[in-house]
Amino acid sequence: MPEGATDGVGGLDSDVLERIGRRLRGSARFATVEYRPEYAPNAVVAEYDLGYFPAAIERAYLRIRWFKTDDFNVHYTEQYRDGNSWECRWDCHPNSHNDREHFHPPPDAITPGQDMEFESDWRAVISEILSELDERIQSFWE
Amino acid sequence: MDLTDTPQDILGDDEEAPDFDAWESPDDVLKEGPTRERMLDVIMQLREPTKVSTIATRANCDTETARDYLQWFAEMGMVRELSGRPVRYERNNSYLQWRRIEQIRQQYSETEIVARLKETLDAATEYRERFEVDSPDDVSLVEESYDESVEDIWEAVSNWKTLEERAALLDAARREDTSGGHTETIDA
Repeated sequence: MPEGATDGVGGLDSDVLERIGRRLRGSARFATVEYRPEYAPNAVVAEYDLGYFPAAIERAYLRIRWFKTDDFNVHYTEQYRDGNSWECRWDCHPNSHNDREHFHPPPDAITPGQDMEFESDWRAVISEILSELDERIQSFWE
Repeated sequence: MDLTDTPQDILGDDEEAPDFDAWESPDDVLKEGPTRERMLDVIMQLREPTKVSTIATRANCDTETARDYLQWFAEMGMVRELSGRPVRYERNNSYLQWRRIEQIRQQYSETEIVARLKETLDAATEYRERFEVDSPDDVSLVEESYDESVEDIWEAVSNWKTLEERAALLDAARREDTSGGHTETIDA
């Protein structure tokens, strides 16, 4: 088992999660940002503004969870009108398939993923992920 | 697979590229704005006593400004001040819990609080039965008797902890007097 896999488990950090929601709400990338909606009570769900996507995509969103141990999941999904989807996930949590910090690559967020190293500051983690997704979204148009 | 490997044939003939000018840089989205907001973002992750200069660097403000905010936040109860040289601050979880209890009491009626508490406790009971222990702290992620992967157990245990914490908040909201903090009671 990779190092760190048995370290502490914590409940949801609703206070950090609230800050994440507040920050994302300030960006034109997102049409709506919901803090712990009924259908995802432990997450912030940020829906990308579809005006920035080709018409073939009917939904693109981030689902973010953050825990008191500073573990997290950031799950990005694109849903296509033809029924297909494309997704990937940045994770930090105990597991037996990778290091604690890892990435499940697209198109289907496969396990095992790639070991990664993330920064410890939640703002740096989210910023880095937004940058990678910015590149993706802009590359639709290149 | 690279994230920028987008399908070649995805664009319709009449589709035009949007204007991305409205997108601030990701760093600006996460780290700009008023000092107050930057400080709040940083203090929420102060899980250990941290000195002022470190906090100032993270919030991208000067040390004196950070010190002023931290003294104010400490008076409000949002952070705890640990005296010494240097003075250090950490996030005050009891304040944050109190704030959640207040939110619950504003958001829900007493009947709704009781119903939600029951739902939450029932959901926690399912985990208690699944793992056959009383507390999420008693579950080992590597216990060989569980027929589940480490990540599934992690997911379950962190959910269970979240439910227990939620139940404690709902229970506190239910027990407290709803007159807005007045503790005056009538003894019968």
